[in-house]
Amino acid sequence: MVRSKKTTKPSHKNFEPKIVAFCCNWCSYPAADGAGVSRLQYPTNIRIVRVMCGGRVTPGFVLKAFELGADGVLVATCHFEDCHYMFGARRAADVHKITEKLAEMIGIEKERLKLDWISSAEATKFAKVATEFTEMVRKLGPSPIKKVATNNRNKIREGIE
Amino acid sequence: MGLNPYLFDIANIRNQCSWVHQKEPEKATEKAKELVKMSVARVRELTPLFMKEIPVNRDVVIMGGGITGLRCGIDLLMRGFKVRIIEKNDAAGGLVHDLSSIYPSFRPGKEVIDELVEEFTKRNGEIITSAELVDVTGYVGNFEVKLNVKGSEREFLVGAIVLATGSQLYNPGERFGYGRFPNVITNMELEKRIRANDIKDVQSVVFVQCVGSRGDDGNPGCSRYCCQAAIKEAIHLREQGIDVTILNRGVRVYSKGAERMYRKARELGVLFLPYEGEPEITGTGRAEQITVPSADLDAEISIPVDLIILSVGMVPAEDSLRLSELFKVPRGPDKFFLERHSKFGPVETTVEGVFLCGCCQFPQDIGDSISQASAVASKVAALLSRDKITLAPITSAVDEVYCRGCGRCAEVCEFHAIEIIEKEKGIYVAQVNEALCKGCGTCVAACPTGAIDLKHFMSEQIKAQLEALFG
Repeated sequence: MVRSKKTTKPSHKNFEPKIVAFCCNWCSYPAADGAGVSRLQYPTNIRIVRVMCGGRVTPGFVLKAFELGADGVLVATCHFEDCHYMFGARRAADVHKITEKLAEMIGIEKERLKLDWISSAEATKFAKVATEFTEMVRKLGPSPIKKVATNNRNKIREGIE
Repeated sequence: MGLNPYLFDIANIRNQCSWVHQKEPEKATEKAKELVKMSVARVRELTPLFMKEIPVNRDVVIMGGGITGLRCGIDLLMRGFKVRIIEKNDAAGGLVHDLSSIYPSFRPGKEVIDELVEEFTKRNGEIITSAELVDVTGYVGNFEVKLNVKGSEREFLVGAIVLATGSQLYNPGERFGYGRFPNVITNMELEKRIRANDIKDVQSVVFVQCVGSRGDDGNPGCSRYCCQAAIKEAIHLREQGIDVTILNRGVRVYSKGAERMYRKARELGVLFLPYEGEPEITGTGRAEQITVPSADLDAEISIPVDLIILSVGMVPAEDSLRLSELFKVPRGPDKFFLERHSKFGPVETTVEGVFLCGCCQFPQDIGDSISQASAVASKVAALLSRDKITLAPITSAVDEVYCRGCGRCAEVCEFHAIEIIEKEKGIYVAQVNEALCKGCGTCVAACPTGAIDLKHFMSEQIKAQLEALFG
């Protein structure tokens, strides 16, 4: 017997995800500037937070962003071989693995986290990564912990008031 | 004085918003508002920071008294700096001292070295021979060097350190009949024989190139000097009527004037024969014949020989590991010292105030080493001609209340800027050396207790930005 199962897949067509991008001061942040200079267009969903080095991004920052309501987090660093701090980009990759595990534990799909390497000369890559990542997160829909986090926050607020 | 520059932030609306979202003005405006909110939240958390100035010692120490170190030293003396050269052997000169001649001028190596040593001493430079480095501490502008000179200790302060420790030649061991046959010698031994005019009853000489270079044992890369040196030696031998064959794996003559030298060798009748695999050397008591698989023909070629010269590659000096640990200068996969960046910092190291030149970085010929020596001299001069060195205030800072002295921060910091000290008896805390800290903040991400933070990019400041964004 063939059972037709009607799936009500939520439509994310009009969903505008909020994405935080941690960009390092030496490569990916200037790459984002370069995208501007070249007028490369990408979706408006990305908000850049500048850090000196990708290795400075703690799992805490990424999880905090999700807790506050981010739908995706991008960490962009230098390429390994020309990291301004020699070992920072490598450290960022190590820390990212830990972050991914922690995120998974609290129910965040690993596709919502992205680590990429964008040199200061790769403005085109920045625009491409920004576009593709936004579309990926848009497909995933709102972050599963957003609702919980917002409710909790509201409860705390009410408690205080 | 105006506003402290570290109380300032930019909401990057032009490059990262309006220019990249030109077709979505409404959404771009919303984004711009949020960027401003984030920036304001960040600024509220900022604290003023102040540049630190440290005094600079104007003296320079050069490790190694080879041709590179001497050249660099003279360049610095000419600029008025006090220069000391530390040489582990009992005389300066290095490998070049023993060369019968150097291309393209064909002057004897000893003559060139003597001239440099004379000029260096005339300009009041000091060469400390038979000296061993015991310890180096400190940071840019303020290094403390400790030496052992013939059993007695010597200490002094310097502002910059130049590593010109050179390399050493590959030791073929027992390969190619070396050591077994008296007429199988290295190119350096040939140089000594040419100098001593000790080449008699020789009718056929065969050079074997790439011994200990390019994937052979020893140096994985090209040693860069051996083809040209072999051609120079071949010309000398050929001019005395000796048959010369150079067994090569591709001739690399790239230095200025070297192509002319190569052509001259060919005109004189030096044979260049590409080979593959390991040459086989046979004979009784002495090498009489060398057989190699040809790279061009499907055949083996046998050549009768009176003398076989192994053109040995350059490998990192024996003490390079020890020096790398003392100076905290990393070594590359080939075990030569590693520059800060192959293009943007070719003679600098990751340790500020420590520079590299010559063959300790990678094998090169004399001309290239000299260029590097002069480049280092101008880098050092630019650094030390300042009265004071200013240190950027973006560094890590430890809150000792939360620090448990576990040392994770010190482990991840490859600038060696963090040390675990015993603050009180039994109480260990991390301590940041602000002169060595480059302000990446990698240590912050490694700290399990949140005791360490990066100034100007503090966790609270970044959290404030995120809260403003989603607030």
